[in-house]
Amino acid sequence: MTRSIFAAAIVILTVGAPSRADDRADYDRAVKPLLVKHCVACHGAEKPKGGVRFDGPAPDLTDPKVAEKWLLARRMLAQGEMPPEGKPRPTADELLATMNWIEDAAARAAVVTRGGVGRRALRRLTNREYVATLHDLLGLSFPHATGDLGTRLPSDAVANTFSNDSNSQVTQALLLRRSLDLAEDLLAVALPAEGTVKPFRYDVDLRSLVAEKHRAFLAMPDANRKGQRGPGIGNVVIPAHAKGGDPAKLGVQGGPNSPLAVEHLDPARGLMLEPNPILIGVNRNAVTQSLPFVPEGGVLRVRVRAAAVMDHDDSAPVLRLSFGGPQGPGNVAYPVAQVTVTATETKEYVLEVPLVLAECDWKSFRREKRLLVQIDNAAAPLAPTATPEAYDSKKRETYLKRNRLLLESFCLELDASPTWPPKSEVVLPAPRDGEDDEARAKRALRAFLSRAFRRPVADRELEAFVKLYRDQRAAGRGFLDGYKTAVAAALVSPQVLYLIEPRAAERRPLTVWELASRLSYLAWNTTPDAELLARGADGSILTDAELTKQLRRLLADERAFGFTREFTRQWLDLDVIDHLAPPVTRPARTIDDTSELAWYDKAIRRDLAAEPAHVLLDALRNDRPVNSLVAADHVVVNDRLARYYGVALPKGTGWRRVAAPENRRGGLLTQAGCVAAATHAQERGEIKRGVYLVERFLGIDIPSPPGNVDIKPLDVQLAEDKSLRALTARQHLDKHRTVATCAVCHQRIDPLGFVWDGFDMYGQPKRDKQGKLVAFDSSGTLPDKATFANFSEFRKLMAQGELESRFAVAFSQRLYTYVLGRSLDHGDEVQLKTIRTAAAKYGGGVRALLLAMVLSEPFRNK
Amino acid sequence: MPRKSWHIERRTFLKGVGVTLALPWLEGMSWSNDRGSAVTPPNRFCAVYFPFGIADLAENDERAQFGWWPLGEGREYRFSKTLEPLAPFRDQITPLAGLDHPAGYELGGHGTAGIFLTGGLRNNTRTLNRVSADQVVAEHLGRETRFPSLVCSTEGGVGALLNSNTLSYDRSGNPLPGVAEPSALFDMLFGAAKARQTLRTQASVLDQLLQSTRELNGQLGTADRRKLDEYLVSVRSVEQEIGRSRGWLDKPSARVDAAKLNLACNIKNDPRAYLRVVYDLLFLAFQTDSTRVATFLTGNMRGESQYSAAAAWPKAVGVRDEAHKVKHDAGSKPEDASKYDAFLLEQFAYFMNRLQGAREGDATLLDRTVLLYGSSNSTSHANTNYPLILAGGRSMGFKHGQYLKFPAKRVPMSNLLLTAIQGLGVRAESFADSTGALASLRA
Repeated sequence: MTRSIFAAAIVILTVGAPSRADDRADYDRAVKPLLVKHCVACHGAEKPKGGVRFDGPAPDLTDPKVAEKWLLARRMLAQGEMPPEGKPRPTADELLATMNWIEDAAARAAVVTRGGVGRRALRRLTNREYVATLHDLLGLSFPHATGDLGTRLPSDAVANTFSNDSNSQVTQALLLRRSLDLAEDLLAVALPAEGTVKPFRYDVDLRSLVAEKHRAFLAMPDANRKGQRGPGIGNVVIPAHAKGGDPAKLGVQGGPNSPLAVEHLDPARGLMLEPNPILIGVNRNAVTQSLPFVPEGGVLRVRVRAAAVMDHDDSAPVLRLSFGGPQGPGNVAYPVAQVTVTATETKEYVLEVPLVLAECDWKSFRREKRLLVQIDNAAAPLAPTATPEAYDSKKRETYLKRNRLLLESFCLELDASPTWPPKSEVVLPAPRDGEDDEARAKRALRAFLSRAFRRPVADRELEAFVKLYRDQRAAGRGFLDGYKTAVAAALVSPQVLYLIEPRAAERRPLTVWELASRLSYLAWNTTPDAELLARGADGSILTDAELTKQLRRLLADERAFGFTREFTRQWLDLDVIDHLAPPVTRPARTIDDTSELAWYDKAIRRDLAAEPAHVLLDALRNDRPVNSLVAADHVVVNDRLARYYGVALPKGTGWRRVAAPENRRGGLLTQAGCVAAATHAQERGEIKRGVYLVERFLGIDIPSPPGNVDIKPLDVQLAEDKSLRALTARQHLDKHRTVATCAVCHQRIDPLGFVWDGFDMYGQPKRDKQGKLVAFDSSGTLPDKATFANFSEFRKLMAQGELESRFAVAFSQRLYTYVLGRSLDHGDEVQLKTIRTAAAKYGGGVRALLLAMVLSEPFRNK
Repeated sequence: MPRKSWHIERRTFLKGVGVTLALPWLEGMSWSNDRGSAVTPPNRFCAVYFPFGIADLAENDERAQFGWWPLGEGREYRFSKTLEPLAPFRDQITPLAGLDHPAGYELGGHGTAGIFLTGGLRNNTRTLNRVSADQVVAEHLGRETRFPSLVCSTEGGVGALLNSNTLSYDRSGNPLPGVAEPSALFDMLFGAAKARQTLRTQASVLDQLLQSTRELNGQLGTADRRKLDEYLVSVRSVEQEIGRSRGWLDKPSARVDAAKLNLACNIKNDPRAYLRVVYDLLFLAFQTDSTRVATFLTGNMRGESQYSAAAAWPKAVGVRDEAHKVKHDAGSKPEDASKYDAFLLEQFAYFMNRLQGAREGDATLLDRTVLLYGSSNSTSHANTNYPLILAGGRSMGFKHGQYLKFPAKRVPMSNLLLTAIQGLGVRAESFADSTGALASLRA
């Protein structure tokens, strides 16, 4: 793939302008000797076996039949099927040269067939981009909702490239079907049909409840009360507000079958909730309100007055909202929204969830005609354990000292639509005086379509959607239904689903609108905002100065995290972390322990996967040197990762930058998440690690092993063949390279397999069973034969040479692939060189690099 | 749910509704005698599960007739009182003993409903299941039908992994939600007014897209046009799918006769009516070729009636206790367990009877359907020696008429599932932890 294209490009660059003559010379030098030595005897002019000949001049692979023959030959060479058994084998170097030539020639031929270098095919929005776009277009925003609506669409993961790679994207019927369903669901939230939602409201002041229910108990002398539990606050009937609803029951659970312990009650302040790790079964610490009905739609808003009680040096409490069915063993509560509570004085937090978007067991709820709304504290522990010795089984408390959530009061409210933005004006403006329905629909559609299509809408286009509205009205449907049908059609139209750039015969600069869209989907993963469209409208976006200004503005916005998350997630294969065997292997000692560990496990995985995105965002915003991504004296971590790395983090919240400990000064190279993603939770993950480093940090794509090889992970081999245990890990790996077909790739992979020898499979310093650090040996060799004796030498080899360092070259290739939304062609290498030179001039930072890419010709031209 | 309008006497429905309801589909896609020669009728698969196990009595126990297991062995076996309802189908069924899922041994006594058709959880992480046999079959048989498979469950939804409300799990090990209410099943299978409006709107939307896309196409280069073609093909395919659904919806007979279904029966209090209406719907779904694969969980492993729709079923049919307790006490009071299991089997026999009554070409629908009936407990809470019955499928070469007893803990139930999967025409070498198909079941 990319590797071969670059290999070709490098050849072209060194040899001069690409031409057929050079191609032929290359063929004569790299391929012919092997053919003459190993193939022509059977596949020559006389009685060619299988009718296949390899004695001709350099082939032209743009002919599909010829290409097929040569690619087959390449595969058979790679798999060792040819030359046949008993004949002499080519050496690894001979094989590599021949296979590379075939691959490169095929890649160049493919570009010719595709219609030219440096052009990308129609690019579709990725699932995440589409979901974000729908929200923005419909004026919806649910920052605290936890569900990922992208999972409603069929996965758009593409092997070996980015999901925004237009040349690899596939559109399938299921995608369209689900997109339409999703668009309609969101549209129903943005423009609810009148009268379909029965609003309600409940107000609960926990302070007065505590005071009332526990008056007698709290009046007892302290000594008598000590260690006792108060009476339960269960089944308090909460009257409905004037707004609507039936009386609902409030319950407060303090533990398995027991009321809340008295130390959690404070008539002056409210209720203290310990973190609740349990979402299945009987809740430990939760406030629940059981509604005697299940609303059909609308937006549930929960306004909570809450505060963090930070008694311990652990994570801040998290206010979580869940929906559940009947209480009891086996019951599942489905988390639907959450927000971290950091205020130490009581403050109002608002969570909004559109019911139609909440993924839970609605079927059961409907059958029981009951919806349980649950509020609890979802703070996952910062570390898997405190000292187990501190655990006192008599107290029946978890030994982890955790911060509590103070609940003062809350208000539960259901409305037809969300409070933000005010009304649904963005999608459907209010009618004007004297305006008839159709005029209003037309005016609204013109505004909406211009935003949705990311450019002014043409009259003809508009007319088609107005007609759809008109037809619906003619069929007897109301104004709102007719209008919504037209909007739904727009939301799944190709103009929204694709970045459409009509093509002229010659290469042309992008229009202002196309450029605004490219920039927005690059830096934000969503549709351009009003400011960006305005810079399109006045044409200024075409200037270098304005483009630079806009990029800086977009990167400073919080939406830029969408960009760094998407890019790092795919570049570094971080999704895999969620599917690995659990990082914490310590056996659970208590029941509490079991759930706490699983909980911590989930949280740390999420953090490990998020770290690279935060690091890149920090580097972009502060324009840190590109090489600092692999050689840095700082880390960007949150509280949990700080514990994981053993660094002290100043008080605060969120992701912060601190000095790195000794063993974490390799930037991404010493991030536990990268090590974990590379190792795949294999005890003997050296090969996986080698492949990861070669592909992701050195930009060389390694083909999959040939199909006839029985691939067994090293640890499986060890389990099956006891004799292998006598070998050291390095000797074991060396066995690979005795076979020439394996050696082709493994001579590049294996020597990097021990770079992370000092780390276990979750990126922690490797320890033995007694917990002592073990000795390790990180030495190895890079594919270009440069050797290193330890990790710091490796890091130096990666990062030396400013923007021409091994890492910077590889990183710029990967980043440019993402920026352009297509796989790179050989012409792009020249561009990248110019880009890196320009970026170096701007100071060599990551933002400078991205800016140079955005200003480059391929980004601004169709 | 629009329940009221559907409510009509069960008896009326049983007599007439089956055929008339099926009409719209049969017009277009019939395998009846006159047209059958042209097309081979499809194979179908249905698995039914019941919770809490059985009265697990040894053959020399004096109360053995109240146990589950048949008496004797091989072709000469005799029916226990429990299995009596299946006696009319002796040459259509094979009772099996000794099979179970080894991966289920270590799960809790209430934990195995979810692995009944999957053979065990993935990597024992206890977070993900494996693909269930019905979904493997659905990948093969479900491509041409409106629904790849039907997932029915008295409890609805998915429940928890170790307390499953569904028998079906997809390739990634995620549960597929079961549908509990007959009315919802009916709406899904045969459409309802709300769906009709949605489909109609969506059809207009797609129509509009086809038009505007065509215009757009003219402005694009070749490579782009290829991409847009993918989109167009998708639009057309969704349009066809919707068109097919609408085509069915617009047949007036469906509306009229559907009113005869007892869709509003009470799941908790009237198990007989409920089971029969679900079996009726399954039968209709098969007969109309709306789907070829179905699973049906008749009760989850939650003991108490507030958590399980089927918990109190025994009480409704004259047994003193709830299902959980009935099976717990099966050792001391096997009569109760026997009576309740026989009741469940009566309803299953009713399903078989309906399938047998429908001819398809030169065979019956029962011959074209592989049925699996059973539980993943024997004696309450023991995850071994599953009580299982395989039935039907004679057109696919299944041979019945004997009682197959396998040595304890030697043969995984996955072998039975594999046999069914292969018999249905899926090319599969293995399923879950199978060690080979059961040769004695097929010719």
